[in-house]
Amino acid sequence: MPPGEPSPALPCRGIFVLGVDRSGTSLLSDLVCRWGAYPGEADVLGETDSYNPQGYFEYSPMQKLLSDLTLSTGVLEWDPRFHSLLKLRAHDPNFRRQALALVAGMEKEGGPWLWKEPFLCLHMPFWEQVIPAPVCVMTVRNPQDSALSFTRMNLRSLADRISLTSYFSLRWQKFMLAVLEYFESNPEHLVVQYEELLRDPAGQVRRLCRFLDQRFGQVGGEEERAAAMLAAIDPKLWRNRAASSFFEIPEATEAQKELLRYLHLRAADVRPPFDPERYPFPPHYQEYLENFLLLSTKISMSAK
Amino acid sequence: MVSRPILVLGAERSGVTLVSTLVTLWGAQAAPAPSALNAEILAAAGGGLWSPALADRLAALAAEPAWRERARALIASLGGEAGPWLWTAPFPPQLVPFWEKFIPDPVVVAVVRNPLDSTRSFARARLPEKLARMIRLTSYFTFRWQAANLTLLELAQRHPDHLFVDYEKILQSPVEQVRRLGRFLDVTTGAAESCDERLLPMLEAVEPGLWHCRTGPQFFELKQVLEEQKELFHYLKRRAAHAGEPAEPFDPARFPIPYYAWEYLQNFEVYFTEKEGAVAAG
Repeated sequence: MPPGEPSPALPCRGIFVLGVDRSGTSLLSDLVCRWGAYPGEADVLGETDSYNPQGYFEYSPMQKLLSDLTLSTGVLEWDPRFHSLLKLRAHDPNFRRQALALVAGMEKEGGPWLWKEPFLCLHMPFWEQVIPAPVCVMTVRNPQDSALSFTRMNLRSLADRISLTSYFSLRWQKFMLAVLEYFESNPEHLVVQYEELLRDPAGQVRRLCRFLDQRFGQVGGEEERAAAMLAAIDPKLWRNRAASSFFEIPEATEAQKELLRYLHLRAADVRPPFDPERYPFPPHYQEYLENFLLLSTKISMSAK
Repeated sequence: MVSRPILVLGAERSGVTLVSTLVTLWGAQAAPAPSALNAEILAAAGGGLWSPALADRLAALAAEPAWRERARALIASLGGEAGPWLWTAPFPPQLVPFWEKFIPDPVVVAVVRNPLDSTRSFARARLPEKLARMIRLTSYFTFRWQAANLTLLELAQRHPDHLFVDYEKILQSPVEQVRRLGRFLDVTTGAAESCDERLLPMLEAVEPGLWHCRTGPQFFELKQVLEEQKELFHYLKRRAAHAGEPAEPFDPARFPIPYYAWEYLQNFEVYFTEKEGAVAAG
């Protein structure tokens, strides 16, 4: 079977690519597709653009369901009640039916399938009650670099007037803690450091390929799959690199720096126990995350 | 009376306007705040009020001959024989590190108000009505409040003729508080006559019905507020209750503004600038 094609001989199981926005989730999705997972019909995966020239791999019917789920909770994702409200939605027959129908659509092809969407990180309390545990791959990138990329993409007209390092570090912290909490109950996951993927593509691709092969019982042909995956990595796409280390910038809290250190260990396959209390949010986090929505919406409107 | 400048300052929506009215009724001449020049100064200092480096930049700017000349000319036009003159809102306390180089002996009146009350008032004043009811700004505004009050406490360190007044106390006990303010101004400006005759018009200006936002001790229970901010409010209340020199010296290290707060402040300033720009443009 050529790399990149669905693998009907393999178990029909989902692979979730998790990670905060602009942290390499699209690149990782590309690799997982080239390994052999089915991402959905091309016409519902979002178009390529200069920010993601190789595609977004975001299955829009799934994104629509996530959006409806969020709306149904009556609170924003940043609200501490969001987690428990989302869990309740798993018992709602309507949402359950929609979710299972989406999964059935992905399984039609047979073999591994792929979903990628940053907000999946915060929606796992729903999915873990509705479908069998997916195999998960999560990217970790320097939040400062992701913040730069996020600002250029979302607030282009203001990119030279505002900094979102602190905002984005809060967003990143929220996403990462949600995923790490979920990983406590799902051992079938791999953490990939974006910077390592670009520094040592061959080594990281081999690691990812072996991880997926093992989970899906794929035997033989590793070299061909890895070669096809490797061809997706273009180091020139590593565009946003901050001049200073995240560990030295005052905008990030000590807890966030500690969390990045911890995630780097996980990406090196070291698994110290996860204790969320070591990474507390600063008191203003929910308000800033919520108000950013207002800020960005109003500014986008006035720019038009 | 000595022609001495009086600065009545405070965080936004803290009752500065009421206290300024009392000071003018006491006898000071209100001088218009140099808003246009302040905007130029701010632009030259980097463009925004919300930077931890602003005070140093302003001090450096005050040493530049061109700025020095303009500032001195303005101050010279405000003095004269008319007695004490007053600068107040809209005058951000954060700009004082520039102006105090040209008014070396100001009398400082700092107005203190419950930050949660000010937050609500600020939201009503600066945001569309519907949005003001929906949005949460407590953390945001408390950082603004903290920055303004730390500047005022530092100013008070450098200028012994200062008085902290408590907005809530003025509305609860106007007679006592108005007399306290009047006597402080008498003493610091060397007034020949006691203010007693002017107390009645000053008292008439205190309208408790204007005290719209009252949240009481709720501020101290809020999770979105830092312990240092709660401690700062306690400290300011103690300063406002104290008649003479502070029994408890001011130590800014007890009330640090976390670095991450500056970004939140700067980004929302962009929001207000854009919004108000759009309103002005029709």
